[in-house]
Amino acid sequence: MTNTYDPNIPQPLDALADSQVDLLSNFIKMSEVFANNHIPLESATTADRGKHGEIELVQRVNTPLNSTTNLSLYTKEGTDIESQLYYLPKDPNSEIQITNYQNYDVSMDDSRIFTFLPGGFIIYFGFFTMTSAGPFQFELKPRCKTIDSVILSPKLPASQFVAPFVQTTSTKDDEGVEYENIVIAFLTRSSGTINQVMQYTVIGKL
Amino acid sequence: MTYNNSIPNANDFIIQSQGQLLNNFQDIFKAFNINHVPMNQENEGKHTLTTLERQGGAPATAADECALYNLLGTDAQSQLFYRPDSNGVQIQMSYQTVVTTGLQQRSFMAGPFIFFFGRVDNLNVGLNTITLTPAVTTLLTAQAVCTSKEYAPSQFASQGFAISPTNFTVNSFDVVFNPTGAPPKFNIYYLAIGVV
Repeated sequence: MTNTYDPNIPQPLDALADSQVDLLSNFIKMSEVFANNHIPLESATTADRGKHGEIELVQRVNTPLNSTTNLSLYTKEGTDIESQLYYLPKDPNSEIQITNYQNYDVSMDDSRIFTFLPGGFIIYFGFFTMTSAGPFQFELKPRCKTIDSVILSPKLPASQFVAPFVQTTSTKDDEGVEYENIVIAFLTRSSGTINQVMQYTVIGKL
Repeated sequence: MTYNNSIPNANDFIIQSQGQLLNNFQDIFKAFNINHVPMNQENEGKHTLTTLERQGGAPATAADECALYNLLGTDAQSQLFYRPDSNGVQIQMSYQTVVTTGLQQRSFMAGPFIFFFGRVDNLNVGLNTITLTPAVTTLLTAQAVCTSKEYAPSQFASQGFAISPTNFTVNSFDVVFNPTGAPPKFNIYYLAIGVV
């Protein structure tokens, strides 16, 4: 902060010679502060002034209040203790956590992709190759605390028709925290062919 | 007093302008505090939140900008919308609720799509109807896979657990479970995506 904005100037008995410095200081300060996140007041493109260049959201402690037709976007501490983006469509009881994972980049390895869904969900998808009819264990990374749904879909010609079957199981980390992060796949009605490519979609919570 | 953007005038004396200037500086300070970290504080100018008031229509976007805004969605609720540059086709980004507990959970995806997923326990052999809440405009896909923690792998080497989602409606789909053997309890995991 270079100078301070003073909302209490000019005072009734101030001479213009005194106020001029205060007025100038406030105008400079407004310009500097407004330039944070916003297209500057001095922008050569008049129509852009007041628009946002970015929106930095300082972490809040509380859920804000909304009117019935407003929406709010803000950041709060998420379940993983990191700042996360939240969305408030209506009243405070309708708060939705939008993001939930930021310790690693969203993977783009096409066999192991994950991203997030609003609500604190993480969704994994990709494929693995089963070297037998099963059980074949596939570990989800990053680990999730619960698995809410698993879909398996064999990538096979019709002549090798199989029906997948799935189970899940848990592991514990060094501190004893339990993660339901293992998918166990089986092939039924298998014609005996192995090295089957299995496409998967898993939805869970961190 | 409200903010006055027409002062001071050329012939105003300072005794006249002082109150008007003071009022404007106070109004600027108060107005800026809404949604922003106040001036004279660390992070001044950054946002504490972004409140979007509902707009009457999509804003125009230039060639090098995009917009996030609030419009009435197809379900008559305020929704978050995104418009790409050059007045591109707007996309509804939100739905007003998610469900994060229980056997049927749901989230949403830009489109707008509702993403249902979960588990159904104790499936019957034959046709089972999975009901989805809320109803969607169109149910686009439904997929399901058999699961059971009670069933040992050795028990189903010769079994077949084919399961076929079918009969899509706006709030349900059927799964036809047709095992080749006589299974004990069976559950399914499912995933369904519909248009809001």
